[in-house]
Amino acid sequence: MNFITIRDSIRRLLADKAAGEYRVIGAQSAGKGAATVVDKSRLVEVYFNRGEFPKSGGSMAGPNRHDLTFRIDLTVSKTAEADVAVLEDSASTAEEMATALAGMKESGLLADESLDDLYGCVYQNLMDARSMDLGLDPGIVASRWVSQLVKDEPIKNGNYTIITGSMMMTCTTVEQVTGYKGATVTPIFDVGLLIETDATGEAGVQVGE
Amino acid sequence: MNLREQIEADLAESLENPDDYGLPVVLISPDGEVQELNGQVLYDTKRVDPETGLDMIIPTPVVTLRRSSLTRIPLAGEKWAVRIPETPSSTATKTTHAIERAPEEGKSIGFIRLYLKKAVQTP
Repeated sequence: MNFITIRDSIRRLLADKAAGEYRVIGAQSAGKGAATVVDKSRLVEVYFNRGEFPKSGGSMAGPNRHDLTFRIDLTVSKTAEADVAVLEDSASTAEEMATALAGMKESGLLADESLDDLYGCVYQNLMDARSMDLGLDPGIVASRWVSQLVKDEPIKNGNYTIITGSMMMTCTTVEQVTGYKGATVTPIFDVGLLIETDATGEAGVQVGE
Repeated sequence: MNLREQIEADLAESLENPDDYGLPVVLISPDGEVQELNGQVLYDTKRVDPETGLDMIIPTPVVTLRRSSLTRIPLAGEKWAVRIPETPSSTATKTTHAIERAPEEGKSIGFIRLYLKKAVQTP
C-alpha cells in the first residue's frame, strides 16, 4: 500500500538530508542508550501512526483516499560542557578558572537546545519545497504538513541528560484495492469492445490532422 | 567529646583516610579557588528501569566529603567543578565534572554529598 511506500520514503529523505546532524532509524527502537544519542548522534525514528479513510473519499472497490499521520520521535542527550582544558591545567590562575566555570553549561540546558535544533533540522527537511513529494514521483502523496511538535520532560541519566520529543506529520494519498495478497487477479467482468467498421482498430483515436 | 562529635571525627577515617575509602578529590569553587582533599567516591548508582522493572547500573558519580574539611561549602545553584579519579585509585587520571543537582547535606553527622555529571570540552 502507498502508506508503506511513503513511510520508507520519509525515512530515506530524512536520512539523505541529515548532513551529519542526526541519525535515522525505522520504527521505535527498543534499546536506546544515552551515550548512543549524544551530540550529533541524535536519533530520529519515523513510523506510521494513524490512517483514516474518509468514506466520502472512496468507493466500494477503491481507489480510496487515505489521510495519513506519521510520528517522528526525536531523542537527544548531552553532557555538561566547560572549558575543561583550563580547569585541568594546574598553571591556570583563579581568574581563568572562574571564567571557565562561569561559561560552564549544564547538560539539561544543552540537551534542550539540541532538541530544539533537531526540530528545526527535521522540519526544514520535510517542509522544503523540494520535499513536496517526499522523494516520490509526483501524484503519490499530497498535502504533507507538520502539524505538531511535542517535547517531553528531561531525564537525567548518569552523565547525560536525555530529552525526547515528537513531531506529527500528516499527508494524503490514494490507496488502490488490489485484492487478496498473492492472489491472481481474475476480472469479474471480461468485456471487450469491438467496433465492426473500424478496420484500423484505432477507433476513437485521432491520428494526425 | 560527645557521641556526635565522635562520629564527625570518625569521618577522617571513614571518608578521608587514603588507606581506607579516601580518594583524592579536587574542588574548584565559582571564584576559581582550588581545594584538594580526600573523600569517598561512588561511581555508579543502582536504579530501577521504569520500562522493564529491571535494575540498571548508571554511571552517576557521587562524592561524599567531610564538611569541616571544606574551606567553602558548595551551595545549590553555584557552578563548581569537581575533579575525581577516573577509576577508584589515587594514582588514576582525574576527570572533570560539574555539579548539576543540589548538594545533599548531612549536618547531623557532618558530611556533604555532591552529585556529579561529567563535563566535556566546549567545542
